[in-house]
Amino acid sequence: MVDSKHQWKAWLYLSPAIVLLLIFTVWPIINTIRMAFLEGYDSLSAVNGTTFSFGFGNFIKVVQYKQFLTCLKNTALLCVTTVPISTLLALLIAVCLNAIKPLQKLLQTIFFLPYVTNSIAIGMVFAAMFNIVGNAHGTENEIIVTAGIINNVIEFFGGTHINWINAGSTYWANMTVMIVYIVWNALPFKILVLLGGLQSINKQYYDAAKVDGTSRRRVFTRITVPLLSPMLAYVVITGFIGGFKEYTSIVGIFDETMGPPDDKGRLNTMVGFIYDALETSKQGRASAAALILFGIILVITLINLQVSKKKVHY
Amino acid sequence: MKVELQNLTKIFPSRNKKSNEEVVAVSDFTFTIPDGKLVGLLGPSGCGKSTTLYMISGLQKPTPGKIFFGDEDVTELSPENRGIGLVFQNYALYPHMTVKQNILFPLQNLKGADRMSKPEMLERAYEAAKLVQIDGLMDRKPSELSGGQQQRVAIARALVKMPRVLLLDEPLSNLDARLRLQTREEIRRIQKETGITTIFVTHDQEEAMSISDIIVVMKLGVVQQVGKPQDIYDDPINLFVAKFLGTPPINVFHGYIKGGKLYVGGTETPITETVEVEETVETENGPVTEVKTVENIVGYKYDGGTAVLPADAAIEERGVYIGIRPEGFELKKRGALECKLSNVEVMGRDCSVVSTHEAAESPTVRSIIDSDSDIDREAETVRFALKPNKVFAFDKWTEERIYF
Repeated sequence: MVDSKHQWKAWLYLSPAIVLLLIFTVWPIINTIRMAFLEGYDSLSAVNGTTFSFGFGNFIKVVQYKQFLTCLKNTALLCVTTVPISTLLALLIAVCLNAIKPLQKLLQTIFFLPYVTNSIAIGMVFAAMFNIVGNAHGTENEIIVTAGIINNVIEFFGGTHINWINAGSTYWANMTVMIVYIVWNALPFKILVLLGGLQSINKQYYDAAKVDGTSRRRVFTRITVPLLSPMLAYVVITGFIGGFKEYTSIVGIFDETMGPPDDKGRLNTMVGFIYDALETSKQGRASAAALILFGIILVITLINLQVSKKKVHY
Repeated sequence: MKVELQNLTKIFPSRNKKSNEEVVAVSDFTFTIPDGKLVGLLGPSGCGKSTTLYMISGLQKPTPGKIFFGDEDVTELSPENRGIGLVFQNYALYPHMTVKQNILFPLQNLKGADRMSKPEMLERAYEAAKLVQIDGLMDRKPSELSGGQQQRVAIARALVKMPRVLLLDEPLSNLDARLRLQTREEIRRIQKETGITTIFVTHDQEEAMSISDIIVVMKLGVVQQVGKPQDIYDDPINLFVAKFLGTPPINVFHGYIKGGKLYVGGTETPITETVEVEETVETENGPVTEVKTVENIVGYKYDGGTAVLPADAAIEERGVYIGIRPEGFELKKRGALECKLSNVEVMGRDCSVVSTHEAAESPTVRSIIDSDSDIDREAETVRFALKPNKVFAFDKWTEERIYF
């Protein structure tokens, strides 16, 4: 312990970080909580000297919004589909990458590239790939010309094109595109973590398994996966947290309309809902929604931790 | 199960592509391990002993060489088909499984006709656990066990499928000194009880000597000597083996043999011979042959030193290393070898006299004598007579044993 006489020195050295954290992290959190519990708070009226009474009105209003339920449903759906799919795919790719010697470094770099690419840019590329008319905002009456690579491929194999993201597309077509895009975008980080985990597993376990004549499948299920479980838990938990904060990916493909041109806001998410509230300068509502999102993420993470306590070894 | 190694060789290709240096880890190892014996592969690190073990296990393939278990050629067999049990240096227990699951694991891998019913497996697992006395710890995780207990679990896991050959890689290196003593007796007992041919690797000569039926001493991939521990100790084939075995280590002196006597110390003078050599030198006017005189060393003369023991008169004059076991010294007033006394360490049963001698290779000469012998601790010097069967001579250049 630092001598109490010299403690001021320690505080001095910590002060730049503490001041910044207080201004940009701690105060916003406190302020969010404060605003959430002030009835109908909005900053413009607050500047003009309006006072707000304390209450749960913001929360009630948020929950009553039809849009809120859509956002919650979209977010939850994206989470429960993309997290397991991307984790399993990442595990598969990591195991394969770990098993090969030549080109391992090169492939590792290639798999990591999406991580360092701007997600809006990737979204635009995906939008172009899934397009059908060459213009993402085509109207219903436009002549449909197949332009996107995906539809070209489908037609090449004799299928009929699918309206993925344009006007008149179905909700499930939109969701499929979102799931493919989010999974693809989430892979690199998960592969990186799992590959790191795989490479830190002592090779002697595999030698021991070999001597004992363990089949490949059993080596994978009884040795690799359990020894990798801490990393798996990590990518699942961070995956869920990231999933609940999903927003930019949808903007990337559908623009800020958060849906196809004829049904705007259909794919909106929780974070999108918060931004919408902020845009109309309803800070109270936005804060309440943010706290609800925080609560959901907290509960999911606690459940995750509880499950991993039983399943994760060491 | 008899294990036969024929010209076993392991060459690792060089890592660096530029230099074509291959690493010969094991070179031409031919040896038959009799059925039911405990064999210790002994040598300093990097001598190829672990590589040999891994080749027997099948985790590494020999390049070239053959391995037989009994009359069956197992060289091309994969590890699981060889019927071996392998205990790794750091045990390699699966950390996420309990002791019971760890021991059961090899049995659960069996397929077809070998597959046992669950109660049978459990019975076998408990049998193996009982043999190594860990049947009370079956539901613990490896992290909840001490080093010694983990070691036993690893042995139980290796024994549970009743291997034909049991292989142990540095089985005691991760244990503390006290546990090491206990565990090595344990390994001996388990080996005796099961009668399984056991091969273990160690760099600790004491460990190897104390439990092995046969020791194989290796150096830089080459087998130096094979034999019973006591035989190797009493009759080392070269200086390396003599130095490697025994605690305290053997005392090595410079010396020579001349005229039927073994001398410690002395001076070495080269005998030279002047020879005329014709040498062709390239000059501007073409090659020119010059005659040069060169001094060649054709032998050495030895003088001085102390004659300590008689030698075979037929041996011509030559420089030798003289190895004297610590117990080969005897305190004698008129002993031939005079050393400067530096310290006497009493250890109860006997005492060790630490002295110095100018011809000794190491800074001190350590001798062990009876504690009841009369020694003047204040004396400047101490005189020893030598026991002939504890004194070995080795050629100065080849370091091979010379029987004098």
